[in-house]
Amino acid sequence: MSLRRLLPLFSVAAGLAVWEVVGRSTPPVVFAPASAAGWYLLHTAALPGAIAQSLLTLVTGFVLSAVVALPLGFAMGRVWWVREMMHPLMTGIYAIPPVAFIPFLVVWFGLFVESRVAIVAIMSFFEMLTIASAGAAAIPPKLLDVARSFSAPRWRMVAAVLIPASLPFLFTAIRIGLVRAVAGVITAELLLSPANLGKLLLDSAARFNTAGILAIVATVALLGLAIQQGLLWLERHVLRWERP
Amino acid sequence: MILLLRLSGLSLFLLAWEAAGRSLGDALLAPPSSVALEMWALAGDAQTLRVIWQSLAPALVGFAISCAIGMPLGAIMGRSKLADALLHPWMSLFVVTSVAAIVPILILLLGTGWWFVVAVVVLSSVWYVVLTTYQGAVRIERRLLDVGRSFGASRLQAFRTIMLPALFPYLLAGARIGLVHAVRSVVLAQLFILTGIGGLLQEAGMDISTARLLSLLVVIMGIGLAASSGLGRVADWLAPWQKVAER
Repeated sequence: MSLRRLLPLFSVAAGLAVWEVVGRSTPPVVFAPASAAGWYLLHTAALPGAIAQSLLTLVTGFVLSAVVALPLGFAMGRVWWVREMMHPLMTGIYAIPPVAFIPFLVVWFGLFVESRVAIVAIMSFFEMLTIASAGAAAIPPKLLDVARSFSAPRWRMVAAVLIPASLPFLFTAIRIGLVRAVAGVITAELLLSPANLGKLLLDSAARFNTAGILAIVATVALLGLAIQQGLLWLERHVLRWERP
Repeated sequence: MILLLRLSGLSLFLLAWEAAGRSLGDALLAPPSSVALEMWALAGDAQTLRVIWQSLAPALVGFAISCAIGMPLGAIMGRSKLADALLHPWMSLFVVTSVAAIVPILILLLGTGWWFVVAVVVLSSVWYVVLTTYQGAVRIERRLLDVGRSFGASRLQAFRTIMLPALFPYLLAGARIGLVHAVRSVVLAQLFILTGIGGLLQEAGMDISTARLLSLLVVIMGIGLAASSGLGRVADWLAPWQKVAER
């Protein structure tokens, strides 16, 4: 294995070692070592269920958001009057931090799963909208011109030109949207009525169980990283023609 | 004509909101007319304005710290293969980690004071500053550096006259994204500990009428828009030779 690939691995190992050393030299109520966090992960019976529930919330909110954000973003990118009409409005709403909607969402959806799904949807919506509209606007007109000069019918135009040209940025939009959705799930589970991973995290914090806290934080981080890397991998395999 | 379309989008939205608000009632969705009245009251409320103003201070301090750490770090990662290999895995891990998840441990470590809010701001914005600067540093053209070297530029001269101007747009873009995240994370941090803007939002959420809540949202929107467009202005003024590529 080359040095280029070994160095990141070495860095991660060194980071874990530092965590372990710092954790062992400070009292456990302040900062727990990595091994204690690992032990917590393996010995918490409620963890797999909590992860599954959190993921279910995540997927529901994400899908609700994507079915609106992607077509709307696409329309904003391709149709000039849709863009002109929607752009000021969307910029304005985007400037509001999603968490600021929480008290409002509580009024509408209560403290439980509906509100959590709503936060996930809001947090992933605008990133996907922005990427989809920027991507759709950047589809090279040459491609469409070629199709038009061969007098391709409308459906051929969509199937053979627009969809393949859109896949790369749709992948990016979905990837960023999903990462935002992970952040949305954990935010919602902490700030609304505590649930799933958020509840485990707050329970650990209430008992000064820093091993538990760090273990959940690591789980959330790895979940985000896994989704990100998984989609990058999928992207490289599906979009063979885009590969350099 | 285009202006008309832009306005029509907004006014259609306001009309729909007004109609929905009237039929649903203030308790569920206050119409824009009552939100406007509430904003008028808010503008005269010195107490609330002071709270909002004080909430922005940790955002600015945290943002300054993020720039001070993130910009050099991003530049180093972009120019040194070793630093990149060592730090990149951590950067990609932290940028996908939601700050909300780190909040409970920050509360244990730092309490719920002013520095807690600053820490949340730094931890949510610094990654964006690093990664944007990194993008810029990676893309500095070899050619330019080679020209500098063949004219015998010292390392410091090369940095000052070649790298810095080439990095500038990216530094500004990073600062802008970082500032947006700084404002967002202040609201997040304060919602956890229920002070500042977070406290105001929570309090307004208890009201029978949603007018106050919605007017606060409009105020926060104004702050966000002002922050990002203000920084854009500063960017154009400081570096007129290169308008920031990504708005």
